[in-house]
Amino acid sequence: MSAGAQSLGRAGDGGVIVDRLTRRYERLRNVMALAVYLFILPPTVIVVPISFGGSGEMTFPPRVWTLELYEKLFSARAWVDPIVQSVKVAAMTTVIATLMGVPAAYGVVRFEFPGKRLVMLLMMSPILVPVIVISLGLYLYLSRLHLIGTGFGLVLAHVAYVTPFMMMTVMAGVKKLDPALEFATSIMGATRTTVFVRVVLPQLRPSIFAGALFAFLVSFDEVVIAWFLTGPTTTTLPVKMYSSIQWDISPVIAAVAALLTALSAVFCCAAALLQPAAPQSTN
Amino acid sequence: MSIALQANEGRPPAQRHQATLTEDASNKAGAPPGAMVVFQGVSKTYGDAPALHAMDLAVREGEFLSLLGPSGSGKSTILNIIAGAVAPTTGRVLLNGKDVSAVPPRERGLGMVFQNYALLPHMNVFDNVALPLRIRGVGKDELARRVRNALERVGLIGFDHRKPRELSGGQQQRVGIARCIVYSPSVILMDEPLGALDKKLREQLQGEIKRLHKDLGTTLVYVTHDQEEALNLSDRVCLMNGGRIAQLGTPDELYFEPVDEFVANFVGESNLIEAQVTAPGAVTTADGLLLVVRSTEGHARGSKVKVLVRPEKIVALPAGEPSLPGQNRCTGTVASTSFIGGMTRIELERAGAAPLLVKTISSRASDRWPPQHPLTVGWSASDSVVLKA
Repeated sequence: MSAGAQSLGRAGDGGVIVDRLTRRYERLRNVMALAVYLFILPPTVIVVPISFGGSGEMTFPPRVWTLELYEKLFSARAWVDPIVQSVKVAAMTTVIATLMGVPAAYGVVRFEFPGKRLVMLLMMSPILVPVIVISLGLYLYLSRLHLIGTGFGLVLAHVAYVTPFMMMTVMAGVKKLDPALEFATSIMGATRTTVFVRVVLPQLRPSIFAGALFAFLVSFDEVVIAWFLTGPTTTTLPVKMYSSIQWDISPVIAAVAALLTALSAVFCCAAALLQPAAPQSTN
Repeated sequence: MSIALQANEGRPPAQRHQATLTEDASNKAGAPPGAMVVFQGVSKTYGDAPALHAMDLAVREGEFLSLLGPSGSGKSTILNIIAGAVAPTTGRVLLNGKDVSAVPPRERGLGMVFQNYALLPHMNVFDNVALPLRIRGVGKDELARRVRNALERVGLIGFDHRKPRELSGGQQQRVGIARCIVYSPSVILMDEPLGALDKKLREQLQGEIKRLHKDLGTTLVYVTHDQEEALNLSDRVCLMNGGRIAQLGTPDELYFEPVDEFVANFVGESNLIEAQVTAPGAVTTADGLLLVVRSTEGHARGSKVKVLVRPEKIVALPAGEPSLPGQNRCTGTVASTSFIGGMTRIELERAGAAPLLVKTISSRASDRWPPQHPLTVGWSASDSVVLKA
């Protein structure tokens, strides 16, 4: 009798009845997630202890614990300049992509216009086309405009590459907005600009912020396009890392990698915290 | 446009006078005098599906007009066309005598109250109510004064810094109403504003809306599917059915003089007795009962009709008492009684005829008629309205 009742189901912790099959699936899910983490995380995490090792070699675990590599990193112009350049490029890219992506995302979600699907496809194409193809195309195009080797040229390229990410984040945000709020505001006399600034933008703030963080990271981290378009004076950090691996395998790279990992982690946490926790309206 | 003229008669003199003042302006566009919102041959079709058949409508200045009807009857379409959210397929819309068919919503000078409140979640109560004034560039001192005034009118003083999500549904809708009256629009549209609230609160806010309308004197167009709400609030009710006006008239007219079966059934409860006209003012039912009615005007002798009797107009009579002139009576047995609070519904079974619904003031169970109890009931001729079958 009691065995029969147990096989039918059991009250879970939350007072919800959880049947055996559900619990089995949950266990399977946890095991698979753990396997994936074990596969993905170690290469990322391993650079952190290495970066605190001595400057002579790259070993794990490090034999001595020092900040020597970080000292080296921040004292060499060969490393500081690319870091500054990367921050500059990523910041400008983020600003331009936000200015373009937010209104575009709103327009694409809210309004119907002829050729909308084509416009969408074009805007999203940088995600669909292989990066190496984009890079080659941009190289040929920007060399015509004499923008190869300039920071501005790389910003333009990164804007094109990053905008789809920005748009996807903001579009998801716009889809969650209640159009009735916009109509309510326009019937009280507001122009479309006023509606956008006073009603749409404030509600989109979390999505825009998340999109901007993401755009910054993608641009900061991007190596292929930058490899094609940068010159000796405009080298970005990923390009510098890649070339240093090829030419002089310096352990400083471990410090750089650790810093980048920390930066990404901070950004991801910020983005996760910024996502609206629950629907705001009560109905 | 006889609709508007007809309604003139029932208005208080002060409002009638106000109406004549705007006559000159409104006549320019061919609108009936005193009409604030006018539909001329307006229709709306979605693809092949007509949502609204070509119709004329005139909402008088200062009037409280309800658009009542089941869902899909076209009442919200009318409101959306007035608001400018939906463009009519044919016809013209006049607001205050001006053709606004091609005018965007923001230039129509309307106010609107929504079912789901449509308050801006990122602004507090004060900023929500102040928004229409900020859009109009109203100065700081006047803005504060007018917002305060509006919040006072809806009884929300002291809630300035609350966010909408920190308020109850009733409070949120009060903010919605304050946001609307704060800039004194000439026409206020309300789209089932109390639809998301519970019954008690709904009745309370009905009273407040009614009082506000009386104080402000604005034209108000109110969409609802709740007939009690419409009867309680409105100067006139426009009952919609299948994209057409079923009847437009005062609550009294709709209740006591419905034009057809649909209106009789939608507004209040009704008994509809099938009968045939046998003489002026008299009909005979299928089971041979002779009924005297208010009037058989417009129905030829011998034509099939339905006689409407409201259940609360039927009273129980002591058996065996002689019938009075101008009174109908019939007998039956009690099939069931249901106690629904103030009133008790009795289903009266009659041999060879449809059962009759009777509503009486409730009494305790011991005093109610038990099932199968024989009962004689009666109602007067003036409560018997003849409708086309």
